[in-house]
Amino acid sequence: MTALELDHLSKRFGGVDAVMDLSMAIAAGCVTGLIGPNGAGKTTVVNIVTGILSRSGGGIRLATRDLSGLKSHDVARCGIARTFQNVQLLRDASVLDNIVIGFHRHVTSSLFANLVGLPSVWRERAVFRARAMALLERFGMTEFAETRAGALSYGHQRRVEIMRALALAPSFLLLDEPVAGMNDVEALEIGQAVRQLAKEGIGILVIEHNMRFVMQTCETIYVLDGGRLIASGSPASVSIDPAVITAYLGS
Amino acid sequence: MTMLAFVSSYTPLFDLVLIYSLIALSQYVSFRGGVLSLAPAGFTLIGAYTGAIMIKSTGLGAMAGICASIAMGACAGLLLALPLARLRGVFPAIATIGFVQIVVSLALYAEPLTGGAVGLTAIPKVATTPCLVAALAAVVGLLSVINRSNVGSAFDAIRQDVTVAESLGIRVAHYYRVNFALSGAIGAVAGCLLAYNTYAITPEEFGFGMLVFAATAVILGGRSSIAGAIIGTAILLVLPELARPLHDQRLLMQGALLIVIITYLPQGIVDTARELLRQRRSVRHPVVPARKVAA
Repeated sequence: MTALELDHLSKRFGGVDAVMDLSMAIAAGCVTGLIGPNGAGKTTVVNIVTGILSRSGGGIRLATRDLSGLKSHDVARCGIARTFQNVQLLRDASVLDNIVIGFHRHVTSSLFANLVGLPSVWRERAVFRARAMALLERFGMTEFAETRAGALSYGHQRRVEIMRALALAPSFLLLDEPVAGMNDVEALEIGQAVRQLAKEGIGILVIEHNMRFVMQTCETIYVLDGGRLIASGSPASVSIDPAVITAYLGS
Repeated sequence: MTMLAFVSSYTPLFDLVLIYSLIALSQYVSFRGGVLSLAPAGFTLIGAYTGAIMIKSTGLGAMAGICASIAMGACAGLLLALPLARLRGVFPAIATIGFVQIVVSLALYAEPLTGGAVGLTAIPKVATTPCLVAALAAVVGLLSVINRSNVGSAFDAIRQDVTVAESLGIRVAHYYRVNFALSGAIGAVAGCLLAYNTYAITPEEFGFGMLVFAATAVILGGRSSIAGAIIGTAILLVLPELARPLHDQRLLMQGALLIVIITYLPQGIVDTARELLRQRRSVRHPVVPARKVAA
């Protein structure tokens, strides 16, 4: 089974070690959790994997392919999609248009065709729109297709962001706090959707502070504290790990 | 005054609105694609001199001049994009002010070719009002196609956030180049038509004043729509004609308008009007309440 593997990854900001010697694997078809107190380096890990930050040491591999040092857009083109801690949507554009942007990776029409508006471009866009509608249907948001993204509730905006990431048809999906600010019912629904996506073969990494969500959704959990991996394993084993309890509650 | 005399007395002003609308559209393209460039004045200069030199010293005619201008403008944009593609945020604005200063100085120094500070005169007036209308319509058509295409989507994503755009697999540097080339081509067409409409051109017409004009027109009209750039241009050019005392204080008025608009109407006229319209509509048809996810 393919996996997205981090191999002795490290990142220094000036004199601060944000991530130290982190090795972990995000398996295809599984939901992997990355948790830890604020400032543990979780988002830094995602930013390194997606090429936004350069790494100070170590490597990133997708199956046999070396991803370390790739530019951010090339990482996306390898099939690694992500969402952001703060929702990043085009507030003035419709929900549908926001999702259509996610299909950019699949554009086959030439630049010239797009500049002069050849029919092939509109056919391609129509396909993207239809696939975006299918995503909306799957997430129960069909009636919001033409709504301005900025007018949606926070929970719905998060869902649109996930749909936009899914538009890439990713093999791995990195979700940075997908249920932050959601109530329990909404979080449960997102959890179900995430597990369903994993069943379809996508490898998912979830960064989350909502412990109930993490425990219910993830099969494997990695715990970071101060940039260092302090525990990993099943939700049951991690939740009784003394090092984890100390990191969260203090000694 | 008969109707015909009335209309014809305002033809030069109308022509100017058409030409300057194209300059504003060159600026609009930059903003739309998330590039904070102030280069359009420089592109306009390049187009004006290319067009003027072509028509005066080759026998190839106006169409060849326009095509040469477009090519020169697009190339200038591409060249400019090479060093600027890695700049983010406000830095391209500063670098492009430098670009405008460089092309203005080149036009001043290359006297045998450009006539130096005196500029070029006796340019045949081939760009009549119908030509200008056709040119503006063509550019508006082109831009509305691009806005709805995959390139428009990429521009939108980049304008929203470069990091997000990259995370969606959009090659930002590539679209910066496309953006600069487009802005360059449109600015150059505007310059060429300006030369073909006003008999004479001098370097200082294209300096800081034009740079501020293009930015003001787009910010005043509204950055997210094509109509905004045209309406902004019309207001900036027509206002001093309606109120004569304003005429001598054009630059003062432009500057003051820019400050007032950015403070009280930061979205510009067209975008604000659109927003008001949408609010009024959504009061009548409120957004339907959320339905449950069935994942």
